Amino acid sequence: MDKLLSPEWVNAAGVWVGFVFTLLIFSAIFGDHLLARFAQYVLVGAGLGYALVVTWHSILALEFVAALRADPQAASWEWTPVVLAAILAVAGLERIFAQGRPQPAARRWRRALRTLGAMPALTMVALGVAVAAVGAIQGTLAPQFLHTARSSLQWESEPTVFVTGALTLLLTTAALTFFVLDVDRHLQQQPGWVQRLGRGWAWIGQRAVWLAAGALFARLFAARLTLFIAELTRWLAQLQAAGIGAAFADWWRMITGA
Amino acid sequence: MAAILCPHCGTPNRTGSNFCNRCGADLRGESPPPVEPPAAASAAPGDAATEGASPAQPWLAPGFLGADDVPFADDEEELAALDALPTLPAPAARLVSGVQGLLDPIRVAAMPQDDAPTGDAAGAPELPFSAEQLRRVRALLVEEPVLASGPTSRPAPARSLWLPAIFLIFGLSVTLLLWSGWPLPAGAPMLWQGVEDAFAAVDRLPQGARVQLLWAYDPATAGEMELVTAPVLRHLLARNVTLDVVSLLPNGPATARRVFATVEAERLPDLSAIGVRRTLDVRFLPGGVTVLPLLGTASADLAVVFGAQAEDVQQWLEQVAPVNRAPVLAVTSAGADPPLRPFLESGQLVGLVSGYDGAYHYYELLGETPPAAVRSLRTQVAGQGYGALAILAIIVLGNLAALLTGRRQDG
Amino acid sequence: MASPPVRTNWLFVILLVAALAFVVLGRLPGWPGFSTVTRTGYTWAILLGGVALLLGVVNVLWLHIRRIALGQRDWGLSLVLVAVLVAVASSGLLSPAGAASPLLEWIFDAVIAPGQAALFALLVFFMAAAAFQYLRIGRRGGAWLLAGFLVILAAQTPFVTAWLPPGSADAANWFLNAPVMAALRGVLLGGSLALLVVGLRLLLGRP
Repeated sequence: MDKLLSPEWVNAAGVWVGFVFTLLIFSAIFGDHLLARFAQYVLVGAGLGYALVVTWHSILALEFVAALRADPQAASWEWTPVVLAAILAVAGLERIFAQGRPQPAARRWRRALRTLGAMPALTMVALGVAVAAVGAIQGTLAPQFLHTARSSLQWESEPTVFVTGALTLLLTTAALTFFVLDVDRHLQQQPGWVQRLGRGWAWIGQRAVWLAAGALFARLFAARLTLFIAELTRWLAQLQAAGIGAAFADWWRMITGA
Repeated sequence: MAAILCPHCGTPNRTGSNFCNRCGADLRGESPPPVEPPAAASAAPGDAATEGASPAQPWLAPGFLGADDVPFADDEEELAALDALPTLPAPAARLVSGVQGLLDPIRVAAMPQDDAPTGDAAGAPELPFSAEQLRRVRALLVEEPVLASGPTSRPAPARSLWLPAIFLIFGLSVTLLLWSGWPLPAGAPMLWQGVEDAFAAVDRLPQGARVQLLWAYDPATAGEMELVTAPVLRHLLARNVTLDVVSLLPNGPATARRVFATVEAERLPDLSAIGVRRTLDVRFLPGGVTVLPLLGTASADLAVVFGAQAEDVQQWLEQVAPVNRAPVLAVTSAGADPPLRPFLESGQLVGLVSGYDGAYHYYELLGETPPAAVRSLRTQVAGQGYGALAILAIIVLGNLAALLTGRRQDG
Repeated sequence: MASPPVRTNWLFVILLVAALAFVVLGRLPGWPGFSTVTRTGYTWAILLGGVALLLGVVNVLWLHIRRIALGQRDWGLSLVLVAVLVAVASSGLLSPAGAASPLLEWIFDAVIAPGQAALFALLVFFMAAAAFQYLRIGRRGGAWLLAGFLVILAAQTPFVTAWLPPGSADAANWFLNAPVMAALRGVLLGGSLALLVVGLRLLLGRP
């Protein structure tokens, strides 16, 4: 019994379980079959269980304990988020458990609970949208627009720098035009030369975006290839350490006659 | 073909249409005289014979660029999957109109009180929104609009290679070549711009500097990210900085602790040998981007984002950097590199280390590469070469397949 | 032009306007009151985010329990999911070591980490399939996609760079940092503008 619980055995068991699990996930490449789906369901279940544990111990347990320790009258502020969280939890659970069941005419308590539960949820969403919008302006739009406007189109700069700056400005505006402008709809009422200019700009932008998409695809390919190679080498190393690699090497030598 | 012109946008619509196919304007009650559209309007888009267009100026052809002008088309499988959709109940989503007179507009009640239009019998009947109609509308919305009055023919979907065949060609070739150790000509990975700046930014840190670290990846991408985070983390630890590590992912803290343990064991093998282990304190913060601004309230000498996606770095630049104004260094996957170049070029990022090539050069700048990292990087260098050959072979196959079928795909 | 009537959620609009005001003023120097309020809001968001995550887990659990109870398709797999979820959660919640319990660490190393890594390692095959289908000269935009792809592929493949003439490394860097960067900056600006438009539409009650 001691041997079963020894660290070496536990580690070896972990390697075996992980290896078999990896093979099951990889088998999905040959189609959607029961073993691959079994592995996927196990992964989802384990991942969700782990997330639940981490969330509880990192945040919820600490907050609830701190709130319970605080005197509600002396430190009511500490109780407020806990009360909001409790309302959100109860209202959310009511919604979850009501799914898939025939609903009678909504009772007053149910309507009241849903309205009350909507408050913290809407507050979260409103805060999230506000944070995202303000951040987009302050962190992306403003700096990027300003930098594009101030790009190095200076007559005294070197020719290569000037050309690069001009090209950057042209392609940035062209790509933006391509995304924002629907040339058929937005320019219909415009004079002919404006339409030609808009169409030409969007045409250049589309080609620039295609070129950039190809470059992005290449870097993404390198990233995923790195993942694949790392996965292969990790398992080769672990299996070698577990003695399985040696067995495979012996078998390969037997087959190839090396 | 007789048509009426929309008073709002001028698009020709089939006589009897209730709503404009382009802008949705209500055509009932309007009675403009039927107008024969110009003959050029019935030509397919991109036809060089249309007015104003020429081979040298294709963008002048009407309908050259549409809102759905995307390089990738849906294939049969995706559209067939739509047939499996359950029939939607009568209160459904939106007003949907046919495209350029090919379909009578299909009006769907948005809410129970948005009842049937009061149009006369000539108006379009209110049809239930069935899966077949959904399929037709979806097929029309993602294809290029065709102004022909005859039957339309959808372009043949591009042939897709059976995935197991891809596995055999690609996966086994890379695996077998790696295992056999068949040598490729030597070469070093590319030194992309941003790596040297990143090294300099960390090297400038004074002893005891405060560094905020966002750990934004989990085991899914750890295969690549560990390669590139290890040298940067090693450098930070060598500078004796104070790390404030945060993760927005539930699996982030566990991943961070494992990488830290590996780096510490390599850095200080003597301490590891006697069982002394430092741990990394990592805070997990649920709530996503909403809680990031809270991190901006703490000052820092440098912020480092270990993120597999460009969005992780961008969110930090949007939510934290404008508040505490600490310089930001991005350590990312190779795939996240191009979208972050604008931020590097504008100076919002002081450095960018990405992919196995970034890791390779960062170790070179550090001047010390642990044996395990040497092995990993050598395998990566070889594997990337084999992988590039394999993907080139697959692309050549794809182009040959297109050549042999002899059909121009996707317009 | 006829359009369906829009029912504005005024409570949400009020909350959104208030949140925008507090966030903007909280980021400006000289408004310490607002920054205190927003800091409190962000702290509360951590707790509410945690509850939302838990609700998500409960939602999945309930979905699969219903599937088991009704005997729907794949109820056996749902039973596996529920059993694993409960087992993993119990091993962490009931252990005095919490998230650092040895059993939970073992599950992370033996199941979660290898499983997630394997899932993502599969992506390279899907990318290869996508390259077969879309990187074709005859395809609309295919030539441009292929050009961008080949330039970067050549630059990032070590044995190819050994064959290229001197100066090609600088050329590849220029390619990534000038035309590609410029196009992606345009995409970035377009995406951020779209995000703002969505926020504005939410504000006006027209999602």
